[in-house]
Amino acid sequence: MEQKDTPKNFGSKAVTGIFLALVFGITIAGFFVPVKARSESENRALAQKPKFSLASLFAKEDKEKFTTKYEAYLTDQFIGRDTWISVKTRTELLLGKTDINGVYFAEDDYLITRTDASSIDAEQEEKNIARLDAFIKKYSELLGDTNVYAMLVPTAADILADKLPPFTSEYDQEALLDRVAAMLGDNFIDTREELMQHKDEYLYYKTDHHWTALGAYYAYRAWAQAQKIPVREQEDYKISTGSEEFYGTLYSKVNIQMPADTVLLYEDERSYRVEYDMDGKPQKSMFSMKRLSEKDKYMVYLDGNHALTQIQQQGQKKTEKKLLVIKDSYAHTFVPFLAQDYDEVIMVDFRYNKMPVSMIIENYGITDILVLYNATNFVHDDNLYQLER
Amino acid sequence: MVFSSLVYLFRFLPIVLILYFIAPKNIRNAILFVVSLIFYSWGEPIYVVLMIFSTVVDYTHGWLVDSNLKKGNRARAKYFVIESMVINLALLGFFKYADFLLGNINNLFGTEIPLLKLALPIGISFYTFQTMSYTVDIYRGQAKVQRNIISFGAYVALFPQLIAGPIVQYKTVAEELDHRSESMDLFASGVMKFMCGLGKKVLLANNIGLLWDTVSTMAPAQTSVLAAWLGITAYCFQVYFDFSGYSDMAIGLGRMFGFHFLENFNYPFVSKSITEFWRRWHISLGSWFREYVYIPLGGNRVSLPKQVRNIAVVWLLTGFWHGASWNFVLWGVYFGVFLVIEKFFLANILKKLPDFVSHIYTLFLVWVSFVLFGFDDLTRVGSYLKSMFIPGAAGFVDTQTLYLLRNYAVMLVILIFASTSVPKRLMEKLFSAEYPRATTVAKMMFVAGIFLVSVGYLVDATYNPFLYFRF
Repeated sequence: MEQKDTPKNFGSKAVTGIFLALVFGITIAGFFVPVKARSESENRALAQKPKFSLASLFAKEDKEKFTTKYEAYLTDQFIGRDTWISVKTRTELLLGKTDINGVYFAEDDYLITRTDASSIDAEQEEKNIARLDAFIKKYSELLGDTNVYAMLVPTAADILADKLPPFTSEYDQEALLDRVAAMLGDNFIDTREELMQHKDEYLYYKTDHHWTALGAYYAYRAWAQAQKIPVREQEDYKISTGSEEFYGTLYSKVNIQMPADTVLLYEDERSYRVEYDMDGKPQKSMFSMKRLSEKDKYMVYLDGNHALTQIQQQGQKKTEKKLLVIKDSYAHTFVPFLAQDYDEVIMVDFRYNKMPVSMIIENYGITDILVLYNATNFVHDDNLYQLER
Repeated sequence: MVFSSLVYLFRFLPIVLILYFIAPKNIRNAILFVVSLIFYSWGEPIYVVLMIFSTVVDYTHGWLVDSNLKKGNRARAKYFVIESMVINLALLGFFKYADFLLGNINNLFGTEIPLLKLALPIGISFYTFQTMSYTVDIYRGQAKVQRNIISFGAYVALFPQLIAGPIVQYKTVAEELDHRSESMDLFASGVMKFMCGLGKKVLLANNIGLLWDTVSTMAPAQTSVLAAWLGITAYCFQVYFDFSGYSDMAIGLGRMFGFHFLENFNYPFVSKSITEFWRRWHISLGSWFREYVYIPLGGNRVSLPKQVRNIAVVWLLTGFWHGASWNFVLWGVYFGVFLVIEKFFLANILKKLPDFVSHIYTLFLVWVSFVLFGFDDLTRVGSYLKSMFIPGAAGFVDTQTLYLLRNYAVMLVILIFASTSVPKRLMEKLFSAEYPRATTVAKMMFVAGIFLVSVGYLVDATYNPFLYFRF
């Protein structure tokens, strides 16, 4: 019997139709999207299609299971992944959320990492502070009191606190820095005054958790003043624009349309020999220009994270000084400002380099040391035990 | 597998829809059985053996009960009912309660019997209850025996309600197992119901769950009074929207395949007494206990002490059903106590009080009960209750609380609104027969909107917990 399209019947057809169209449409479209090896915007490798085997089907560990891997693959390779994430972000903003996936939506289009006070492991914090104290004291004695420094850089959440949404309970970086400053005295380089004075300038990226080269420059001023050496002005550097299309790590977490960041390069006139991880392929610049065509353009500074980075000044050597920088990625923008004051700068990243510090100091004939971390990273870091080795 | 996952929505569901609707009617149950087993085994393949075991055991027992009844041998039929119950309860007891028992023995006698540490077969509390209803229904003559083991298997393993209910009593679907008719109207109403459920789970429950996670992991001393209340409010809403969302999805899927499952939740938070709350909350569990425990014990047609005993038994079991841990037992006892009090005198008083007073009375007791539900560590229950009633170092309210309030205020308003029948009544008004075209467009937008935003959340998937691992 031919059924007429009664209103109810029509409604049912429409509802059924749109449901099936969505389920089947998205499923089928998914098969035509090529599998990607990594996500540019999230800057990580994406899960690939797992191989089916009985062993993996019945694996004991959840993460070894075929089904777990398959779901990870499906989520990572989902058609229009970035768009879906921005749908979620927009919904959350509509619901009045002020932080999403651990990122604050701050004033003036700033994205700022959220480090809630309650997320801090107080035990780790205490250990790290004690280790830093012991390390600085030990090497002040060995290398001389004016040769060993620590610099903990406040992050955007501290310097740009006025831009944060109301009622945040951010980790108190000021209290940490006050405490470490009191503890280390002249061996601590306090960058806060310089940064605060210029907080209306472009000190931190809006889409990334790092500081800009300008932010690092002001920190360099604090450093030079502490060292009692003449401070170089910005004009003394050749400033060029590396990229105006930088979307950083915080952008990746929320995936929402916003203005891009600009990457500036401050170069001096000296020439350098830069080698990463002793790979035998020395570079001629501290700026790794090829990184500007990648997603994480912050890697242009000293080529991003490496276990060991060696910067040697070419030409006339006269300083007889060799600096060891124990650091996180905040150092990458900072070191180019002071490289010319040393014959050689060795940068060590404890996350990747497990060689005992004492051995590095001995092997490279280190005369000066700088421990440089951003404040929140310093508190969280679980590799600082290496300061004791 | 859970419904609120990409692998379900974009792999399992489309395949099942195609297989089911291109298949001739007489093999549709077989298809449901097989895909349900795959659905079940997705998380833990080995336990599919358990499911098949249950199916075979209960099928056989149903047949034994039936044939003995026909021979007029009621005693023997009863014996097989009991045997099937023992097997089902042994299964449930072994997988769900063995470690609890051993742990308590160890604590009590200082022994060190090693725990079994078995992964709880997902949904075991739901399907063992379903299969027990089968033999009993046959014995009572309320349902006919199922001759076809595949159809019976489809009932036991039916993926829509398999892992989180509703607990479907055999007699309510017996007819539809063999003679159901799928239709476009029923399918469409199933789609609407499924979308309601998906939205409740992914958009509401998961979202507010983050607030509970934040508050419940705060140090008790650092938890302000307001934060504690905010946290437990979030948890009540999370459990309700998660659970009822899951039930809605199950009911909706059932309709797509031609089944009519009974509603499992009926706006519990509008209740004006605890008695009413339990008539509106997890209805299928309440009816199961009433049908298969409370009434067989004599219900309320016995002497007063026995009535109290019956209520006590049912609520101890209800609590214990929710999880193998003392807090759940206490949770059941807590409700049992208030139900008895209401039954014998408070109910009459509540009726005379203004509505808002009885509302507040009910919500207050329910909110407090969920503290018991939320922590299996009883000292944590104590410290949380303390945060709720006695201002500690963080006082009545602190900045952290204000931040949480600022971030979840809109969500809380939506949740309050959504936990009443207002949206439904609004929809009924708007979706009237007077404007069929506009109604259709609105419904399509509803389906597409919920679906697309939910998928956005699932792709982001930083938070999509499944609350029923304990059941």
